[in-house]
Amino acid sequence: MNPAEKGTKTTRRFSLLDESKGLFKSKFYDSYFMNEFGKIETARSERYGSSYSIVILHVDRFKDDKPMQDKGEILEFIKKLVGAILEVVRTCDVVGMVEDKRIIIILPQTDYFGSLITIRKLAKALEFITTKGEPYASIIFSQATFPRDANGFGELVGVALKRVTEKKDSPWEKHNLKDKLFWEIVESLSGIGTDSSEYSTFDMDVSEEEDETLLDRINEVIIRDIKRSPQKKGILFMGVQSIRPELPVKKLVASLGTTATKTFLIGAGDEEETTQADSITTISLKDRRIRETLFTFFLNEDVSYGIICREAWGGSHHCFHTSDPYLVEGLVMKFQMDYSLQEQL
Amino acid sequence: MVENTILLALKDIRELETVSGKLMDKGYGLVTAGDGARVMEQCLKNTPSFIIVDLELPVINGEKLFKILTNNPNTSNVPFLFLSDRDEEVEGFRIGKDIFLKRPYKPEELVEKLKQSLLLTQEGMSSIGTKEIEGSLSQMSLADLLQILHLNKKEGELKITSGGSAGTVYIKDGNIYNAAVDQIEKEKALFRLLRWKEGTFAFHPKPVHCPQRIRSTTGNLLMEGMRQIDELEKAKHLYPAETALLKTRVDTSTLPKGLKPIIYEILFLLDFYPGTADLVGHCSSPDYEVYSTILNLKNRGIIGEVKKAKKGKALSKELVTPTQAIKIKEKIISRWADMLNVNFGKIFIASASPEISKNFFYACKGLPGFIINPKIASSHNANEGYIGEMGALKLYGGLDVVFFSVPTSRSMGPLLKAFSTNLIGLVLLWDERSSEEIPHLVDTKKNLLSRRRIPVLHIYGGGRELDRERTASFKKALKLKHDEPLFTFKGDDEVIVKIFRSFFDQLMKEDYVISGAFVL
Repeated sequence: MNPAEKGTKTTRRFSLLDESKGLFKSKFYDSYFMNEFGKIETARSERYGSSYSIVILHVDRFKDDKPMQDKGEILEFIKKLVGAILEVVRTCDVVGMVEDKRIIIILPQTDYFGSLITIRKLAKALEFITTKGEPYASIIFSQATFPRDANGFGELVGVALKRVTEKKDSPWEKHNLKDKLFWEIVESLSGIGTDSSEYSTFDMDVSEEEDETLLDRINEVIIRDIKRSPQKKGILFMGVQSIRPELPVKKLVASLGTTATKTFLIGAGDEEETTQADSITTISLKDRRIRETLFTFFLNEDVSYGIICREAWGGSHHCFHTSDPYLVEGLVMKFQMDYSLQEQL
Repeated sequence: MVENTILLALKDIRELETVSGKLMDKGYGLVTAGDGARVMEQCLKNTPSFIIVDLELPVINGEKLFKILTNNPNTSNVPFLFLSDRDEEVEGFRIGKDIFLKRPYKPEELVEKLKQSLLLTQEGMSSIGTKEIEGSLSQMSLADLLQILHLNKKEGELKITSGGSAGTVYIKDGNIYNAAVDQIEKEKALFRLLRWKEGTFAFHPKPVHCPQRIRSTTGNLLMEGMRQIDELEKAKHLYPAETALLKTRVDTSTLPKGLKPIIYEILFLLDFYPGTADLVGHCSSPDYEVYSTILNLKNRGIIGEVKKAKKGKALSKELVTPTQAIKIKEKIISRWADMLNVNFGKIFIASASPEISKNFFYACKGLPGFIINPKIASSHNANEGYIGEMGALKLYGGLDVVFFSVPTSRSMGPLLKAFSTNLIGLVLLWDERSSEEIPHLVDTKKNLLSRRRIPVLHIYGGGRELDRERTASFKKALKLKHDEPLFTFKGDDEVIVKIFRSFFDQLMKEDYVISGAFVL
């Protein structure tokens, strides 16, 4: 049994799947149909060399973690959920039940980033239903893309379900960061002391005698990574204290040429301004906190990496870095939201 | 869209009717718009041959439209005719291409100017779009040719061949964007090409998408190039011969900071490429600058010539056969649908000390097809723990095996996970002095192997053979099985080739699961 389902065991006394027929809108399908459609979509994507994605919505827990035994209440909730989902998705997307408390959406002709955008849209649309003014139910979104993640539909669902568990273990969910503002998240992350393979903290020297800092080297690694596969879609945010023409990172990014990675250079400036040149968008923000922070967020189909370094005593910086894709994506999303930047991936 | 479609956008309807009547009489295809947004929409649908625009157009004014459309690759070459009630300066106005007319004007005058401009554009386009310029360098030098292309604001690739060599100059709007010959790029490549007196050239007009690597203006660039060529010829007799072998005569770590970066680069590369021609070829600066710096260093006694090459066994020319290279590539793409885009595999190098890592890379210079990352050559950080690409092995079929140096500190774990795309192997390096760091190496190995199965090379770089007892002790510390190999690396022999042969054999034989990335 999936550990994610602990505590909700009692809900299995009845099956939502059995009830789904006829109770929901006609565009909401059962797992048999979804499975068949998924197989066809796989064959179609294979034939045309395209990709498609699936998104899984896992209803993790209800208010106060208490197991919901009221069938009517659960059904009412799921119905509202499905209704809201159907409002958000495109006409070509197919929504259905995969098993109890798990809704699946098949997104034809959608790549990894497309599925992330769909998740963002869904999260926004479902905010009211899931909170009802107070935390009512927690939904975990996960995704998988064909052929990037799996060779068939069943395998793809398996990957997406595995990611539900992974996401639950991610600091993004564990520390409830989704309800915080960008700088609150930065504050929380700087305090995490764990050294794991996904996230850890360390101190970095930024003395003037050093030709380049660890962050400069990491940025260079990222740029080389993009150069090696320029056709790969990605998004890169590089936060510098202030944008100056002679900034090494600016030259580094300028060497990128035409790539499928959207690159943003962010720094503190007196006036809010945005300039665009070739592959870089330079964003100048009037914020003291930007001046005291260095950060890089990089997300593409294969790499997810985020580092945030804040000024500390004695010319050193206290840094937090992570390779957790949910956290990196969350940081990008929060940054875009809090600074009213275009929400894009 | 019919040929010569004019997009006419005027705010005054009567003026729009008059001008459109005249244009249609002359047989031009016409699309009209009353505001800037409509112009944008029309341009997105079909690119017009010419845009006539009122500077005071509603929604998006004429100047703003001009700025947007000239920045769009699809419409950047479309000429504009601006109409205004007063004399105004239009930012970015292209003399010879765009036209400005102040009201009042005669519609006939407008049509005539438009006709002339279209004729000029089409003549230009025909020479750009379909024809090639071909010729011999003995009849027209490359410098002359580049000036002509510059004056005519051409865009495309200029291919030059001489003997068995070939080079390309990338030109956009008449400006030199980049040049390439063999593995060399930028000014260095251009100045080399300028020295070619014999050979052929062919200009292929096409859109150039490569990044702009050369920033100087064409005039300055050619002047500087010709000056460097003259200087190089004049002082040729003073420079070491191309075949001469060079050697550093001082401890480079004692050199002060703040010298010209080219000096550090030359001294670093010298360890890898003692041959003058090799050294000059691998240094990122233009040849003249490298030769004159070598001469300067030689005169100061920092480097000197070595009379004879060290006698040693020649290393085998091939590390892996073409068939093996293809198999390696197949291994890397085994889980990738996007076969065409897989052009590299990565080997992580985890070292217990920066010094041993450096020695290892010095030894790798002997591997056939090994290229050091020039960034390391020009930085002062080679002695420190480096993160990132140290070098790459170029294998048959355009496959690079990238040697990627990784930190072993536990707090750097996220870096390992994030940058493990196309990971095909791991090398662990340590020596006697750094043996207390072995637990960190074991942690790194454990961290990576918990996610994927890859061949791991355990290399002791202590410079001496290990006795049975010491071997057993290291194997225990590294948590190796009794029959798992432990290599000993002495720095300057063929062992390194054997080690990598063994690695590639292992990679091909065993069913290693190589995925493009960690499962998110």
